[in-house]
Amino acid sequence: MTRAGAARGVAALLALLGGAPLAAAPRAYVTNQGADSVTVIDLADRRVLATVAVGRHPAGVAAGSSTGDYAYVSNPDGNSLSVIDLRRARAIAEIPTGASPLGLAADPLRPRLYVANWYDQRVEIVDRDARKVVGAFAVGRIPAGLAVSRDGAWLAVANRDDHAVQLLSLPDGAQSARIAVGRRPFGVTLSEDGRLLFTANVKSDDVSIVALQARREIARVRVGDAPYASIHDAKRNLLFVTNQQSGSVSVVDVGAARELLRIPVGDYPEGIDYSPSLDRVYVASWFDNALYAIDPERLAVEAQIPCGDGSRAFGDFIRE
Amino acid sequence: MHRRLVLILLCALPLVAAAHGPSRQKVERDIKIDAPAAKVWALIADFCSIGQWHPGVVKCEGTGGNEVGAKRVLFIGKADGPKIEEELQMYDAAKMTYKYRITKTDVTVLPVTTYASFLSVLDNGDGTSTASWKGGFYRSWGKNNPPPEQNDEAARKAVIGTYEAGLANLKKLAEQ
Repeated sequence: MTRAGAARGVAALLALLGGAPLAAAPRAYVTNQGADSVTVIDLADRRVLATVAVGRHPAGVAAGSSTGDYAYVSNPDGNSLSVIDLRRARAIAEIPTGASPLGLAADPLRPRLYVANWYDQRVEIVDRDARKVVGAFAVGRIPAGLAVSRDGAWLAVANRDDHAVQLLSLPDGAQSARIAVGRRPFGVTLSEDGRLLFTANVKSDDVSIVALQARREIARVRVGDAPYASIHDAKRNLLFVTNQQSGSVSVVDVGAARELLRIPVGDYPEGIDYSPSLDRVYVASWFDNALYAIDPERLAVEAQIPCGDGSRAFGDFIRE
Repeated sequence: MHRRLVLILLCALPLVAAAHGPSRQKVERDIKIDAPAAKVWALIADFCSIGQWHPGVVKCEGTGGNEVGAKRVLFIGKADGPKIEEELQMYDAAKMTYKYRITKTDVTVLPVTTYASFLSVLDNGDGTSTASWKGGFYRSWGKNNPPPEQNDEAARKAVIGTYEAGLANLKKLAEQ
């Protein structure tokens, strides 16, 4: 055994004994819809650390820094959220929700989660401490992706069948604005500075770029077939977009509002996220059961990490 | 009261047609064939040849050949049987693979929506080959609480039956 190998062995042993390393590397929490599980990946080592059993057909995920010691996944066919204890890498609770929870987002200011109920024109409010639904916002038709602004001032909801994004003021939804975008918006994300909002429009094969101050769509950029979700790389002002039916990731120059190229990945790429510390984009491929690492500088796939069946990872799935 | 109910139902219809459940289904089937890959590929290479190699498809009417965007209509079971309309999305003869989607189905034979699949032949390097069919789709029922004939299980069952019957017959034809 080499010295490095021995060190890794010791680290693995410590992890087994329950002592997670203090300076933990970024990790991905990938929902595996066909396996009722979440794959936990050490992104620096590109190594699977654990597979966590969760609820039925998990899809959405909220694992970003605002969720503290926990990550949450939505189980659309179990009508629940699973709560994952990050240190123990185990699901420790299940929170009942309304019908078919899918999109999931954490509030950075309040101990809250927002959960889109696919069938019910509702976004539920979950109290993370009490671990229960404490209220709901009425929204448009088929709410899909959710995003909360960094300052916690409002929540964006992609109302897929309204072809619009709805902005709700937080904490109470007292103000609501509707912004028309492309056909069937699914994933919704924000630029790092919070000035732009992006929707991936499944039916019109494009992404909408929305100026939040002006509350209107300022550009629509054609991408691949059936775009699903996107992530903004602030360093380069690029938007990376998963194209479900093309098996590719479109790279969009946000400033110029045009597509630069498509990077082939596995079939049905879905969830996508960015790690600032590693400067890499990660994409879950639903058909290939894998997470792809993309180098945003070279604009090429660098690695493929195996996950469970039907890896989806819809939401903020990386914890720095 | 009744009129009002009808109105509500009518209003709900377009929404139902547009939506689907949130859990996409996946079906993948492979079959090892004791025949060279080129021979198997020749049987399926033509997008509309499915009328010849799939036992459930009695007739295929196609336009556009093997170009992306080519269309075909499958007649299931009998010449005037239920129809399924499909479109070619990707075609790569060198890699012996193509991808197509269903543009219009008949839920009595295939209760799916947003269906797309790949059909491929792999050269095993020893004179044999493997034919693979894999698809992603949602059940046709777009609301909650689907009836049994349009739930996830019914959709999966129909697709699995289609793949297994097709691949078994392809093997039979190729090994003749």
